[in-house]
Amino acid sequence: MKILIIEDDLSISEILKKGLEEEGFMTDIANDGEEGLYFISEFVYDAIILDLSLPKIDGLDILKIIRDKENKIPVLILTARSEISDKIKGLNIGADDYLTKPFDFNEFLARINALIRRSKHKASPIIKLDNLEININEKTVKRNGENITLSSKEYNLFEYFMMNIGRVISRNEILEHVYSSEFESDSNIIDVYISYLRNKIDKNSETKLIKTVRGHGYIISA
Amino acid sequence: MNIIEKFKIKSIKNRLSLSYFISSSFLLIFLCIILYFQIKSTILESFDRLLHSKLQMLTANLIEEKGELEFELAELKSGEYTIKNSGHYYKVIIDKNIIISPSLGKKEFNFEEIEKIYVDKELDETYFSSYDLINQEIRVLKKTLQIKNKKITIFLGETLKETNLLIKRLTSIFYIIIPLGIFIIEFLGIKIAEKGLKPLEILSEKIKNTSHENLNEKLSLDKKSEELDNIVDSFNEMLKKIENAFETEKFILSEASHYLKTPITAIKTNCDVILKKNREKDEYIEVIKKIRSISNKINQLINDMLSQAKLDSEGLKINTFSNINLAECITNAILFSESLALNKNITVNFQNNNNNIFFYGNNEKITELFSNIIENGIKYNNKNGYININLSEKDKLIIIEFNDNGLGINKEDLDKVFNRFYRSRSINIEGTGLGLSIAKKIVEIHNGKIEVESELGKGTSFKIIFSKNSEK
Repeated sequence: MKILIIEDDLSISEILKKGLEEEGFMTDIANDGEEGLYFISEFVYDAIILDLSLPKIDGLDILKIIRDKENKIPVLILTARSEISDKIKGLNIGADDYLTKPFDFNEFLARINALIRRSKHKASPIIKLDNLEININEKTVKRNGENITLSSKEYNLFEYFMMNIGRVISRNEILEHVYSSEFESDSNIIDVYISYLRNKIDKNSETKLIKTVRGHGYIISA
Repeated sequence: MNIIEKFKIKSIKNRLSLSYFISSSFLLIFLCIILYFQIKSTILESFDRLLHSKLQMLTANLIEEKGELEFELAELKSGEYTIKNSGHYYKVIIDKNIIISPSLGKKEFNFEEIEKIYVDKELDETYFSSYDLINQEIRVLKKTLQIKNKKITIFLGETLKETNLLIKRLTSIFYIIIPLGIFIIEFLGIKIAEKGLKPLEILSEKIKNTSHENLNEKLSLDKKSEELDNIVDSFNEMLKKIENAFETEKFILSEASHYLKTPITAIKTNCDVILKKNREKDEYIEVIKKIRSISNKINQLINDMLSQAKLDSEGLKINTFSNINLAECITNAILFSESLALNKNITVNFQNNNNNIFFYGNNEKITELFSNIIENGIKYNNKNGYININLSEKDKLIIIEFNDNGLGINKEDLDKVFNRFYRSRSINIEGTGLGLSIAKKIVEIHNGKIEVESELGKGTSFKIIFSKNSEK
């Protein structure tokens, strides 16, 4: 999952980036509104964390611009202002959730996860496909009721697949949303992890769920 | 007024109506008394004139017969003078010859003088009151004439029965008029006071309903009156001042909490994230260092806010002012920001070619002002930049200029740099956003002016202008 953090205070954006990346998210930081809008127009994110008082372009204005373009990306507003009216204003313009500074990081994570899940139309943290199931909150994977242990990189990739069941996912998309820039985009790291995943998930089952769509990428479906 | 004070009547309405009541009642009673005496004396005067004209008639009946003076009594012997105790009497004494009206009965009757009323010396007429045989009050006119060596004394008496009755009736009318009048006066007094004070009551009710929640609602009265309009205007002016103070306070509070929450969030999130799992020692140290630096920032923020709030609420006490050497203040300010400048290798130049410029002000605050501007120039500057400071005197003005080759400020942001908590946050620079706002306040307290000019990417110049206010 790739998240954009639009926050002008470096001490906050940096620790959010660190915390999110440790949880397996990919993150970008924009220091002001202008930069934020640029990132949104150039890259695809699974969620945006938006501070309201930003230099150059105000947070609420960014939100308005995004929603006017019919971009349905989930947005979590972060702000030091705690007045109810501010919250209502934010939610009315189209924010999906609202957190007041200072917040609890675990709550923040839970909300981000819920937002992303909802945006992918997954109401429950447990997503099932055939006899395969993933619990996003607990980060556990089961097939036929048996636990499958995945490394964190494998898990991140698998979670992204499960969030996008039935949709062809390109290698580029995987690179952008699951793996950070530490990998060269033309490296075959994706293939390596896909084969690891297949090994752990599909090997002992008759129905193979992860399929290759030649020339396009991969798809997970029953 | 003494009565009013004595009874400690606190309501203006009651005081007004009571004073109105007392004065009007006195006036009414006084008028009635005067009227009473005036009418009474008029009635009695006309009575006396009646007596006088009857006397004329009597003397006209005096005829001379056989060398003797006698009354032609035929007319006087008829009518009311003949009915006993009719209240109409005469008695004439010609030498020793006494003629008396039949109504009087006895010849020996003497008009006893009970109270002398009036003496007309010219006509030798005396008016006095007396009583007749049946003890009714009568008015008597006594006249003495001298005709042909004969002394004639005439007494003419007329009863006051009807007249007294008339006066009595008059008095009883007054007895009704006075209390009725007083009652009407009191009623009107209360009504007038009530009506007059009604706007005051409305005003008081409106003021009572004014609180910090509806300071923006101006007072107004439907009916205009000069005195109350002044009160209303003054009150509204006061409301406006209080509202402004409230708004500023609210704004500062909300800004302050906003700006304090940001570093606190940074601390808390750092802790949350670092505590999520076991980590290497170095990672803990790094986070603790970060927290320390954020805490310093919070401390700086609180200090600046307090300093600003103090300046806002108290200004500067004049007894903290003295003649200060401005060149010295600048040198000190440069010293204070030395470590900051060293970090970025920024040169602060001050050509001190005039060590003789004095200014009457607060040494500490003026130094803080300079140091705030220098620090701002350092923070918003590139590495190896410079700040040039120039101090000069021109006519009656002292001019201090700070020019830097730093990042510069957007044109649209230029008028905001002195706002509280304003930070040019397009660039991430440590700062509380209060330095320049405090600087401006200090300049204002010293009746000075601060101007800023800037070009993005080229640099910024601040110009402080003070009026000379001290002797060398």
